[in-house]
Amino acid sequence: MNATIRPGAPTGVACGFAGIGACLVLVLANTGAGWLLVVLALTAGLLVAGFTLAWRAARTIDVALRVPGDAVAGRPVVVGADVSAAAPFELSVPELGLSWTGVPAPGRGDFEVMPLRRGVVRSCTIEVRCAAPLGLWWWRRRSRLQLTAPLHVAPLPVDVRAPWPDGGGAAQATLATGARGDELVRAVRDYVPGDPPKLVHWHASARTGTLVVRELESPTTPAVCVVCDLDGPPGRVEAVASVAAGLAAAALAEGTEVVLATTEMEGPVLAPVATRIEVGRRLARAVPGPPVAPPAGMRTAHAAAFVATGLTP
Amino acid sequence: MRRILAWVRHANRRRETEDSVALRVAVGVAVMASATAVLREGVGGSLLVAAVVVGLPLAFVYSAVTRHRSGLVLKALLAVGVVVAFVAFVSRLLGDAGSIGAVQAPLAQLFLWVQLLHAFDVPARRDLLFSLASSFVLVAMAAVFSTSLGLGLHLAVWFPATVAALVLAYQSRIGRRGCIELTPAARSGHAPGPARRPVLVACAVSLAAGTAVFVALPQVGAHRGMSFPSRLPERLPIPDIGGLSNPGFDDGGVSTGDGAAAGSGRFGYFGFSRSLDTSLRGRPDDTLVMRVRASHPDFWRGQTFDTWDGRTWTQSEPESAARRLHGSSPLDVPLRREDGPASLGDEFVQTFMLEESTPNLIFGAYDIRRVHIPDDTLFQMSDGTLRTGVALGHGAVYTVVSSRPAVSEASLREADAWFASLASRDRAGALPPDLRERYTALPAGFPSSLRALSDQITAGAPTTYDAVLAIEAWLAANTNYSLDAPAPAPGVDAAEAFLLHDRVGFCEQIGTALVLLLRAQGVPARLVAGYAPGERNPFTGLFEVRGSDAHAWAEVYFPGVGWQGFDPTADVPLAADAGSSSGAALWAWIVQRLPHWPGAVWAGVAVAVAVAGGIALSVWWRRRRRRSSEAQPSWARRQAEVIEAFGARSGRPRAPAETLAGYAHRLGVRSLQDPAATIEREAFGGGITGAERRATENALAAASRDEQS
Repeated sequence: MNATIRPGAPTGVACGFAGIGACLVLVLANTGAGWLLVVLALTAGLLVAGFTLAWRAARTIDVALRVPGDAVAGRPVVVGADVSAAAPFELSVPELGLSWTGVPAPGRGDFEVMPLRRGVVRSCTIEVRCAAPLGLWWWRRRSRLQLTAPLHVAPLPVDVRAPWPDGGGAAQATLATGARGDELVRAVRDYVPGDPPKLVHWHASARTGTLVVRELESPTTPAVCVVCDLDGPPGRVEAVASVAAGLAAAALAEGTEVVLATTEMEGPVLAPVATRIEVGRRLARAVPGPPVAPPAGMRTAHAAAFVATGLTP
Repeated sequence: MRRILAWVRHANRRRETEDSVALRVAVGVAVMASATAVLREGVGGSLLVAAVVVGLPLAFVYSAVTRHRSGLVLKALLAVGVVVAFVAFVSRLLGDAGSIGAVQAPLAQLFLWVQLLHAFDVPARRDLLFSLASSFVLVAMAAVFSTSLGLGLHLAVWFPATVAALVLAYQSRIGRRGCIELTPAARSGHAPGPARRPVLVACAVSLAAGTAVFVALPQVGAHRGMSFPSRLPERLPIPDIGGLSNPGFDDGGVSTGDGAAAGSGRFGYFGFSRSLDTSLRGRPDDTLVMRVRASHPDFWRGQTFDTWDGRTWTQSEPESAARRLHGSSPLDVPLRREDGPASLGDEFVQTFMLEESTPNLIFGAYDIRRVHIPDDTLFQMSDGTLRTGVALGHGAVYTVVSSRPAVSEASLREADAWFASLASRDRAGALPPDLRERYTALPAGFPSSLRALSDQITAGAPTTYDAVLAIEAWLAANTNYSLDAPAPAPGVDAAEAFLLHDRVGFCEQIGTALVLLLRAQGVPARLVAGYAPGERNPFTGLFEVRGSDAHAWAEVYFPGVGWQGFDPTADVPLAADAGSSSGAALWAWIVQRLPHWPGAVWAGVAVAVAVAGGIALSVWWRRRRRRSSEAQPSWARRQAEVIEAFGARSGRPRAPAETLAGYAHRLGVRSLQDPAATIEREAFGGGITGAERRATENALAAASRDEQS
C-alpha cells in the first residue's frame, strides 16, 4: 500500500483540549501560575504525542483486498482482507460502498461490503485513517488498488413477472416470443401405420388422394431478446438496467433462451446469456449508447427495446 | 426557533452506550484526581468535599449500571441541580463583587458541582470525553490555586488516567458495532497487543514532549494585572501604630556587644528594625518566609537606612512622620519628593504570600505605586517604604504594583552631565538640598583613610555611575564574602575595619562600604534592607523566599532618574535574567536538590547511566528487529501464497508436503511453473536478481488476470 501519508483533521477531543489550553494561556499570562505552565506543557505534550504517534501508526498500515468477480449493487458481498497494522484504524473503500469502518486489529479475514453502483470495478481507492493511540489527530493514506480481476457489479434485478407470452406484465414490458416451434410444418409425407391421426393433413390428402401426414419441426426453446437501452436521464439509467436484469432473470428462470442486447465501451453487443452471472456481467459493462437492433430472426424481440425507454420500474 | 430545537434534539440524541468498563474507570480516576486537587486547595466546604469524595465514584458506578436506560427523570433532576448550583454561584458573586480573583473559588465550586452532577449521566463515550475535558479544566483551576508541590501527586494520577482514557476511547470508537473483525494472523505484522502498551507508549512520549515544551518555555509571571489577590486571615493591630514590628526578631536588632545577633527568631532578620547594627553576626535560617508570584526576579525592598554612626545604621525619620494612606484597597501610593521624577516604566505586579510572620513592612520591587491589601491602616515613610497597621502573619496575601523605571547604562551615565547642564535654580528640583544633605551625611569621626580610599578608587571615574562600578569592582577584587566575618572590636569604625583590615564581610558590610565610599564622594546613597528574589520553583512558578534570603544592598540617587539599586555583594539575579527559561529553572531546582557528592562520583554515576541506557537501547533494538523479521513474510512466502490462492480458487489446494514447483506442475498452468521455480530458488538460498523478481510478480499477476477473464 504505497501511498503518501497526509495529515487529516484533529478530532473533537483534540479541539476541545486545544481550545481549553488556549484559554488557559490567557489565564497563565494573568496569574503566572507555575503549575498551569506544567499543565499546559503536559497538554502540549499530549497533542504532540497524539500527532506524531498517529503518523507513526498510519505508516504501518497495509491493506490488501481479495475481491470476488461478481457482485450486485445494493447487496452485500464478501471481500477478503489482509491487514497489517500496528494500531487500530478506519478503512474506507468508496467504490465498494464501504464508508469509514473500524478495523480494530490486524489480521486476515472476510467482511461484507455493499457496492452501491452498477459497473465494472477494475481498481478501487483504499483510504485509511488512523489517530491511534490517543485519538487526537487523524492521519490519512489513500491508495489505488489495481484488482487482479475486475469486479462486475450487476444491477439489482427488479422482480418482474415474465411478460410473455401474453404480452403484458408487471413491468409493462412489451416482449414477444418467437413462434412456437410445434406449430411449424416442415413437410408432408405418406402416412405410415402408427402415425397419430391428428397429424393427418386432410387438405393435402384430399388434394393428392393419398393419406399424408404432417412432418413437424422438432420443438425449439423460445428465445427472448432483452434489449437494454441505457440512453436516458442519468437518474433512470440504473433503474432501466435493474429492469433489464429482472426480465433476463425471469426469462432464464423459465428456461427461456435469452439474448441480451447492450452497448458496451467497445460498441454494441448482442449475445446470448445463459446464467444470471452472465446477465449481471453484461449489464455491469453496459453503458449508454445507441440502441442495439435485435436480431433479424427474432422479430418479436424488437419490442424489447421498449423495455429500456420510459419504463417505470 | 425550530432550527434551534432541531439542533438541541440532534445534540442530545441518544448515542451508542459505552460498554468499556476500563474506559469508565480511567475517566473516573482522572475526574477524581482533578476534583480532589481542587478540594486540596481549600475550595469548598465540608459538604462539597463529602459530595465529591463520596458522590463522584458512586455517580460513575450508577451511570455505568444504568447506561442503557433513558433516565428522563434523572436528567430532569440533574438539570435542576445544575440550575441550583449556578444560582448559588451567581449569588456568591453578587455578594462578593469585586476583583476577578473573587470569582475563582466560587467558579471552582460551580465546576465541581456540575462535574459531580454530570457524572450521574454519562452513558455514551462522548459523555465520558466531556467529563475528561472537564477534569482538564478542574486540574487547571487547581494549578491556578496551588502554591506548593502537592499538586504534583494529583497530576501524577490525572495524566496517566487521561492518557489511558484517550487510548481506550479511541479503541472503543474503532471497535464499535459494525467494525471489521479479522482473525489475527501470523503474517499480519506486529499485533498491537492489549491497551497497556499503547497507554505506556503514549504516556512516555507525551511526558517527553511535555517536558521538552516545559523546558523550552520561558518562565511566565503575571504580566497583565487582572487578578490582585489579597487576604488577611486575621487583623491584629500592632502595638505602635505606624511603627515597625518584627515578630521574627524579638529584640529589634539590639546588639549584644559580643557580635551575636539578639532575638530568638530563627528566620527573623535583624535588618528589619529601626536600626541595623553591622557588628551583629548570625543569619536567619532557611525557613520559607514567603512565596512571591512575579514575572521577574527583583529585590523585595523592605526599608532603608540613612544615618551611619560608625557601626549602626538608623532611620533619621521619626515614626511619627509616617504618613497614613487613606482609602480602601487598592491603595494608590503617592510619589514622595525623595523618589525623584515619576517613573514611567512598566507596571510590575507582585503577589506576596506569607508563610511565616513577617515585619509589618510591605515588601516590593522599587517603586511601589499601588497596594492591594484588605487593610486601611497603611503608612508611607519618606523613603517610599510602606508599613501596615496590622500584623502580617501566615496566610496573609498582598499584591503590590510597582512601576519599574526604564533606565540604561547610558541614561545613568548621562545623569551627571544633565545635572551639570541645569541652571542653578533647577538643580534644587533635580536634587533637593535636603535629600543631598540627608543621604550624603557622614559621621563626624568618619575615617580620613576611607575618604582617601574612596578618592583612590573613583579617581578615574568620569560619572557617578562609573564611580559606582569602580567601587563595586574594587570590592569584588579586594574583599571576600563570608558569613563568618570577624566582629569589629568595640570602638572601632566597622566600615574601616572591614575595608582596611579584615576585608571579610557579608552583605551588610559590603553594602555599607559602597554607600559610605559613594557618600565620601558626595553622591547620595542609602542602605536598603529586604529580601533577595529567592529561588524560583519551576513547578509553582513562585519565588520561594527564605529567611536566609534576607539581604542588604545599596541605592544610589541619580538626578533626573531617581534611586537605583546596586548590589555589590553577590551575583544576585536581577531583571536581566527575566527571560530565563523554565528549563533553566528546573535544572537549577534539580541541581539544588542533588546530594553534594564529589565530581568524580557524579562522573561515575553519569557513566553508569550511559552504559545502562546503551544496553537497554541495544536490547530494545534487537528485539524490535527480531519481531519485525518474524512478523513480515518474505517475498518468496508472499509470492507462494499467490500461487496457493490460485490453486485454492480452482479447488486444488496445495498439499502439505508438496513443493511449490510440484504444485504448479499439478495445477497444469504453464505460466505458473517458471515463477514457482524462481520462488523456490529465492526461498532456498539461490538468490535471484531484481529483474527476476519483477518478472515473477508480473507473471503471477498476468496469470491471475487470465484466470479471472
